[in-house]
Amino acid sequence: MEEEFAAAGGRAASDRKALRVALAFTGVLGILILATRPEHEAVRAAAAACAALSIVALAWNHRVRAGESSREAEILAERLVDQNHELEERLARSEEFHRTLEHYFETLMEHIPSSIYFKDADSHFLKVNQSMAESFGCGAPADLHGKTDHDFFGAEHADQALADEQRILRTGRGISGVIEHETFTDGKEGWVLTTKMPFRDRSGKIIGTFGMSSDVSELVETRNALERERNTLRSLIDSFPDKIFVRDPGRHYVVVNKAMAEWVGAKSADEMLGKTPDDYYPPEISKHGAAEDLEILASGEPLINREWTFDRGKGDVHHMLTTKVPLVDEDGRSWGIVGMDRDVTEQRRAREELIESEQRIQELMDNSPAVISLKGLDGRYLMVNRQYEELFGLTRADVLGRTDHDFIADKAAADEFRRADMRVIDKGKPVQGDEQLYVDGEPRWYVTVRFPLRDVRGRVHAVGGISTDITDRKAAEEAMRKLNDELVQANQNLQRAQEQLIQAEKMESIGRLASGVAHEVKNPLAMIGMGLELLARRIPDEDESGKEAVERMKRGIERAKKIVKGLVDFSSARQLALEPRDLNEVVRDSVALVDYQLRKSKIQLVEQLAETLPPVEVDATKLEQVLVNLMINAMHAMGEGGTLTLRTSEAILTSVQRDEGARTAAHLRAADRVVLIEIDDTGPGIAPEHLKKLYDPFFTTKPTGVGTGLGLSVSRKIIELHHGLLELANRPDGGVRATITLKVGAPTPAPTVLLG
Amino acid sequence: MRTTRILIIDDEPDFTALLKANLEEAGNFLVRQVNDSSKAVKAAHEFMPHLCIIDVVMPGMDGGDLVARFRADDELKEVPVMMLTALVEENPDSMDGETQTGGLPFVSKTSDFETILACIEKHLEEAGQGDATTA
Repeated sequence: MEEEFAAAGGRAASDRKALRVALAFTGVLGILILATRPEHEAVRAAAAACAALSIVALAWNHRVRAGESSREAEILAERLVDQNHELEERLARSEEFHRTLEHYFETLMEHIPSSIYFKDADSHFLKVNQSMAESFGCGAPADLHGKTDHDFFGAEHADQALADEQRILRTGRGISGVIEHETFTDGKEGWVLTTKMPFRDRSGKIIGTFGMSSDVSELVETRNALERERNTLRSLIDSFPDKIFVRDPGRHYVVVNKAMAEWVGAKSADEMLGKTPDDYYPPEISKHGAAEDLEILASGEPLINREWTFDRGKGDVHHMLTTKVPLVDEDGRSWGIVGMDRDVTEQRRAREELIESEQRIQELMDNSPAVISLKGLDGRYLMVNRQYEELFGLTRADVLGRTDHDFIADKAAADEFRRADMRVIDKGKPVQGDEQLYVDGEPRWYVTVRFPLRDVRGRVHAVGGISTDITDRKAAEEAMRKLNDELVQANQNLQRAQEQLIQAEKMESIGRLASGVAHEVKNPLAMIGMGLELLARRIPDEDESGKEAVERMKRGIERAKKIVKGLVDFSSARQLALEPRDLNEVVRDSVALVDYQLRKSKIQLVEQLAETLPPVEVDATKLEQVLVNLMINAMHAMGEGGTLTLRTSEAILTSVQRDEGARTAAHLRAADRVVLIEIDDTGPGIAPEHLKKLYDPFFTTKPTGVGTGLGLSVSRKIIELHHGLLELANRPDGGVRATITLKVGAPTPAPTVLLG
Repeated sequence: MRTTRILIIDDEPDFTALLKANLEEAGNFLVRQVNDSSKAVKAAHEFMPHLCIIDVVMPGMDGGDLVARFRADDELKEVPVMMLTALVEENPDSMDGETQTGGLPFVSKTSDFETILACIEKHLEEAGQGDATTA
């Protein structure tokens, strides 16, 4: 039994030694795994179990060896053998487990995307995983063994890593879960999640470091983006003047913006979180809101722009617009309400003021007697007044939003209105003008001012029109103008009559004077003539100069006699011996009297006499005197050569020209049947300044001794006694035309002769 | 050769004196001038002229009145009368320059002396007294 026991013991001893080695290895492996994979729950548990079991088994083995000699020791040994068997089984399982763990580890090292490394105390790589090798640009992890960070990174980065590792080696404290900025070996920059731990041997002595780093650039960027987005949204809702909130179904504030906090008088938005409207609003408002919230949550229907009034007392009344929208999760359940309160007090006041302002303008327009309208740039009516409605028989509703072309039948008128509006829009200035409109078939005049309306930026956005009915004024003006014209005409007539009167008076005076003068002058002339006759006989024949003196004096007497004769003609030509005559005959008789002078002056005579003329009552002798006088005037005007044209014709008077001094022109009337005698010369014509003085007695342009200055005044007087008209005018083609107009039939009775 | 007596009645003494001088120089005339018409009839009765030359326009009794008085006077009614006045113009149409008005010859005072003389001789002849009075 002893030997058996000893043999058994010897067998057992060799078995135990192998068991101890196996247990120790399992323990170390467990610890190693514990140390390197602290983050993996299953690995850690398995490793801890292996380590603990190994330690217990080793301790147990030691106690067995101490109590070998005792019975209990034997029993214990037996049990130990049993237990040993059990342990062996466990060992086998443990080895299996170890292999599994190793497989896990290798799998981990090979496939995990994070970089894992082990370094010695001098920061040389001991072991790295596949991912790290790849990120360092090496094909196989083994290529990195023995190298340091300095072989791959810049000095700064490598030194920093070295310093970190040295600190870990010194202090034994690792760095866990730190996110660091990293410049990768390929030059890219990014973020890594780093864990660095002291690497201890089995005795717990720190022999190096190990660590793991994961590229979390994408995560960090996403997180940063989210952060930015959150900040932006926060800033956004805080910058809103509207009061924004999110409440949970219990009405607790989850999100509120700055405006909301200020609105309810909270110190900050954060202060409000977790509180409810009851904390900030009067009960009746809060209560109403709560009922509303319930309905929204129940129905899932949003509430848009509820208008309500918040009286904060002391006249501080706010008009609010509230919108609430239920917040729904993926399953369609309402989990809260997002809301927005808008203070529209100002807008409402502005709107009310706008309405009042528009009403004021409309009142002003409606109470103006003018027709007023406003149109947009497109010609559509914006406003019209009552007078407009009445004028066109349209209501505001008919007109607003439409153009003139929509309801003015007269397209040309509508076009004209549009053109007028466009002119104002183009010019940007008011335009005023008179317009005629037919109202109920009656023409009416309007003075219309069209003016541009400008918006706050000064741009023309509408055109206004104000039309005032000036028909009555126009009529009054027209009447006034007519009256004025008549007055002017009357005044002119009066003036002409006065001139005629003055001229007539002048003539009368001259006539009266002339006859007196003639008599008084002729007596001394006769006396001188007699005396001269007497003296002439005393002059001896040989006294030539004496005889010449007498002749000169005789010529002087003749001249004086001629003037006196003219004067007497003028003053005595008051009575006519009228008889019906063919004026062509009178003209021919007159021509016979000047025939000699005509030939002497080499003047060509052209007779254009009418074939037949109605008889005219004339004093043929006087008329001959006139014709001779006019022909002699014409001859004097032409001098040598030239053409004298005599023309007679019958005509119906269309108008009667009146001129100064023509007392009897009034005897000729339009539509009178007349005979015209015209005498045309080819002389130089009458100087304009002489035209008015032509008929003045003693006015002459002839050299002294040639004319008396009485011919025309006597001629005219004779024609006037015939109730006819003598006119002299320059012909357009040169020369003068003298025209005698005599009425066919008997002249009206001669005017009273003032002079006896 | 008898002397022809001519009575000139005109209020212009200067004219009558000159006419008288001319006539008396021109022929066998005895001319008497009266410058106040109111004394004309008396003078005519005293002088008994063969021809009377009477002006028309005279203060007081004018030529017309005077002729009427002559015509009404039995002694004077046959005396030929020739009106010599400034009222009428020389008549170029008549040979002697006179104009007949109301049966009386009117001669313009401003006619030249030959015309006046011709007229005087014509009327003397017509009255049967025109026997070679001219010199």
